Amino acid sequence: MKEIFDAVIGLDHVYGAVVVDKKGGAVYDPLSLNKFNTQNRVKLWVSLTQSKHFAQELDLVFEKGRLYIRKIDLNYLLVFMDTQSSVASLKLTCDLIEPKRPKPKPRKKFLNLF
Amino acid sequence: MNILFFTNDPGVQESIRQAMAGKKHSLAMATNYQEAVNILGHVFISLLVVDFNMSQIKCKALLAHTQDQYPDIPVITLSSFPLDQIDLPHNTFASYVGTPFVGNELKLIIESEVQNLVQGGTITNVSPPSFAQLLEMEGKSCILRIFEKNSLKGGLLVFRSGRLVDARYSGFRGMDAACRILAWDETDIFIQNKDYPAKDRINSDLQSIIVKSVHMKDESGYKAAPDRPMLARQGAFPEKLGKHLEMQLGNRTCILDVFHDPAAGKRLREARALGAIFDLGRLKLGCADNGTENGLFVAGPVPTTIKLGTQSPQEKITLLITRYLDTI
Repeated sequence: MKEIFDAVIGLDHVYGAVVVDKKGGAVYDPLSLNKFNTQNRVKLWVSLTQSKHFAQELDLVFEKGRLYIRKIDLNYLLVFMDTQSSVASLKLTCDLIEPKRPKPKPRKKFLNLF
Repeated sequence: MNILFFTNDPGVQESIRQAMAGKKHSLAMATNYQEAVNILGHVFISLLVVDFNMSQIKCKALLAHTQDQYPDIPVITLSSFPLDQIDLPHNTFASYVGTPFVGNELKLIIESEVQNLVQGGTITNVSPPSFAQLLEMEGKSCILRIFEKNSLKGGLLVFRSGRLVDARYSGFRGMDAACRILAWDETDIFIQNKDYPAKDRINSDLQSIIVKSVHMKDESGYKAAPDRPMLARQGAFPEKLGKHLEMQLGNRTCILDVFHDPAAGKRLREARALGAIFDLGRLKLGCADNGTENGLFVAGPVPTTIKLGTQSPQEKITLLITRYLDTI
């Protein structure tokens, strides 16, 4: 996670990134963005990520900035950029690094018994 | 600020007009109780001036109504009787002016009351949801008088310990008013640090109200399409956008389709909710990729979807759409 995070944060026009789980908890937040600082925001995030419309990859352009969300395993990488940014290089960076990351192995059910 | 004067005396009315000439406030005159109540119910009044030389019963009834329904509105009483001869509890009005007025007396007292309404400061060009979230986080108790920049519509939001407890706007009250006010884009906000005595008319958390207001805004724009004159212009948006992109890109082979897509409404609402969480302002467009298909959804006057070819210059198209939305 650190590798993908460092690569993303080094790109031009990126001013913040955070990895959160579907419950809104920060999985990796070295910049302490603390974006979900109220219970209501967490609730909203949870309801959004559970929506069937919520995509694997989402690029949103707003008046004050751009938000790129990418589902990685069971978590979400959120990247905050200014409006001048290009999301193509960001996607490419993620595409290059993500396959290299070891996938979490499924737990064997009765492992603890032996 | 809108100021309501309750008087049927033409002389007093003329004196008020002269006293307030050149001031930026809007004046409304009511000559009877029912008219005053109607104005209070439909116009965003910030200050009430009552002429006690009229029927005392009607004046007292109006004061009682104001105190019960609009405790945020300060009342200035005008009377030819000395203050100690007016049969009214002193907590029912904010100031007293003897008639006939002397010099700038009325003007100065009105200005002083208006200053009290904005003693917490003024913030310009701000989006109401962002500011409301800030107040919630800080647990503030205050009254916000909010004016939309473009239309000059006005409304009121009341916070108690960071909780939104009351709102009013153009005949709407509580949740209905809050959703409408929070849907405004750019506003000037006047802050009054004051505890508000009225009951909680909203009973909901702020985030839910913001999401509801986003939905309401979206749906009202969408509903407006079939039967308003605006509809024709709104309905033409996808076609105009398509032509603009064709002209800018030289051809449309990379764009498969541009169309009004009511189904994109839900996706746009969710994207707007994300923008509200992170205070990113108005949504312009988004691109969703669920692994099997991707497409652009545009937050224009009507929900619009653009189907892209596999070789489309998505970044360039995004930039062109963003600029186009700024021009309409």
